[in-house]
Amino acid sequence: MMQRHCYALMLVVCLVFVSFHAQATEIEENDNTTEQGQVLLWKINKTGSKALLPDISLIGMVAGAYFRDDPANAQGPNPSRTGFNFQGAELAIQSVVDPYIRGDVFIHFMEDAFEVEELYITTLSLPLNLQFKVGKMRAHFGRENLQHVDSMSFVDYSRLRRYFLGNEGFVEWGSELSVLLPVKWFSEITFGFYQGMNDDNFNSPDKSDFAYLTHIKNAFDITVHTTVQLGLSGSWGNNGTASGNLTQIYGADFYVRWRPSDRKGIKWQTEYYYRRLQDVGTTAVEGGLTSQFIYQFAKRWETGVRFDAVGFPDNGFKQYQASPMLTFLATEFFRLRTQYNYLHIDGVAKKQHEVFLQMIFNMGPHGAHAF
Amino acid sequence: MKKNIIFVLVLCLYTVPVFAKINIVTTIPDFASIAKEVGGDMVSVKSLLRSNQDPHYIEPKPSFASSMNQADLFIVVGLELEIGWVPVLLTQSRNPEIQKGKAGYLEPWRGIRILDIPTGKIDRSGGDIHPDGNPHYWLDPRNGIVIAKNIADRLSKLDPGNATLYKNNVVKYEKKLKEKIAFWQRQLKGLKGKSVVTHHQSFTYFANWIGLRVVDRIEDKPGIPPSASHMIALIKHIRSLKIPLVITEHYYNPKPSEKLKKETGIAVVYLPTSATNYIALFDELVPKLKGSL
Repeated sequence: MMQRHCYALMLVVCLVFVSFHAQATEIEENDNTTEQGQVLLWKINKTGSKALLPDISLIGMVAGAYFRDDPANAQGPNPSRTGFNFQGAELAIQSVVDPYIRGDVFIHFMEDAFEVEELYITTLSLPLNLQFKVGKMRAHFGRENLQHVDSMSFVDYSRLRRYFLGNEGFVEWGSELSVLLPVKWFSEITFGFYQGMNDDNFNSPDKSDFAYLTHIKNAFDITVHTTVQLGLSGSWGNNGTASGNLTQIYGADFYVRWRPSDRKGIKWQTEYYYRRLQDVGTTAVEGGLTSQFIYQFAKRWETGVRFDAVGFPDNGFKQYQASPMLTFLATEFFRLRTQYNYLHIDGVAKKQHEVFLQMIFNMGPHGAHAF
Repeated sequence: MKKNIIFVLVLCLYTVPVFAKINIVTTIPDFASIAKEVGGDMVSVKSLLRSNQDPHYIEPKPSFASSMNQADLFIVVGLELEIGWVPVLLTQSRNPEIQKGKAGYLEPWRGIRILDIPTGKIDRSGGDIHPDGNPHYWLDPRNGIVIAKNIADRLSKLDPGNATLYKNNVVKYEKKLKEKIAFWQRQLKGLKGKSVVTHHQSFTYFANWIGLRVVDRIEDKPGIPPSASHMIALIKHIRSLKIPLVITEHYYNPKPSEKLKKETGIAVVYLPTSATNYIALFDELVPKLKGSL
């Protein structure tokens, strides 16, 4: 109870900060004159209210798939049947709203429905390197959970993400407060306070049960071409199996990026999750790992492989998956990818074989993705 | 007592020294060089990119956000050159003073005639186009003077107490640059009207300055590697017009240029588009170009 009050207090303090700062900061005026007092603007800008329109992009994702046995359940944006799969169309509307906040909205269109995938504002002007984000968002847990399908290096989510965070990932209504620490390297701490709607972990029917998160990220440039990023995540909340039953998930992520030029590079990303889930009369303790290695060997080509292992420690059965892939990046706005999945589940006699051919296209401005 | 000590320590971490220099962060090193000339001892400058990187295709590394977090002035090329990586960094930087529209954010092209502004309907069938025009404006050294003046104007606004110093530094830099421009122009006088092929549109301003005629490009459409059919057409074009030189940016794939050289005997020169010293950039460009034509 005490903990909940602390988070609620933190939320109120942040909102007061936002409103106070919004009143206190003056908007700088643009200086349109040269030193002679004459306007020397050769370039013709977009005129009128059109210049204030937000950036609008539509990203379409379609995949052809072969499954030895089609998955039985809904798979979120992952391919789910042999044949054509509409992985979704993501409508992104993004803009700075005013001097104090920016807004980002991602609407995910599926074959027969659509949903608000993310809708949040982010502060731009809080003091003390603080940043506040509120709305529906991908929780800042680990590294892969923050990635949309279009920004991933593979056709589908890793087995680890799907098993521990669900086929849709860990997406919540809530708020996050983060701070960039005043040190020489990039060091960020994030605190999350969410509604607790994730079916796999925090779906408590009690309206006063929320989910909480802490994430620490550190990044270092160890050479001019190489960056290493280390993260630790922890999230906890009531899971609804019975009053007071908790789910706790902890994660560690490690990412190395080597990019000597735009024609060559390596990405190595590894995450480990550990979950402790209290159920009626029992507590399940599980863990798993995903590791992907991507090699870009030409400006428009990259290949890689991903290994997933779920069940370390295990809850009765283990899963292993290996996924080699090859991607052709025709432009920044269009790419083709092929991937093979080999899936082994302990206790299931038949091994699963999956083959994908995916097409992703982006209509609109560049979508800048976080590192 | 313990709480008070912790509070003071935290406060110290966030406190900026009163007499600190103006911290300037630029995207390209050329702007860092100009800003150092203008700001002198009153500024510290840092470029996010190195001179051998293509500013179109950069990943927004976390260390960039850390550098921008400490910046008093953030200078970008603009015209959507850095649109693929700067917007996300601006948000991550948590620095309200360098957000677009604030005094700490500067695109120093005001007063420069922007070239290659697309007309008519714009879409990406034309490649990775820049709707606001060609952003490689610093490659005309005359524009370097305008850039320096724009930086000085902004520094004067951020630090009015040293406005005279910045103005004087610009006057000195303008004099030095004008002398060098006159020298470079004498060196390149014989090149006026000569036809060249370039890889990308990076050298449009440079060619415009010295009167080179860019008659064709290896990239049929900006940002798109050349197709086989375009290369065949380009080979025919080079042969028919007897074009003597291909200019390729040093960070681009040399294979297409080398193919043209092999097929037509055309000379190829690999030129930098950026340097840690703006004047040294042209000191390298000019003799290399002169020696190849």
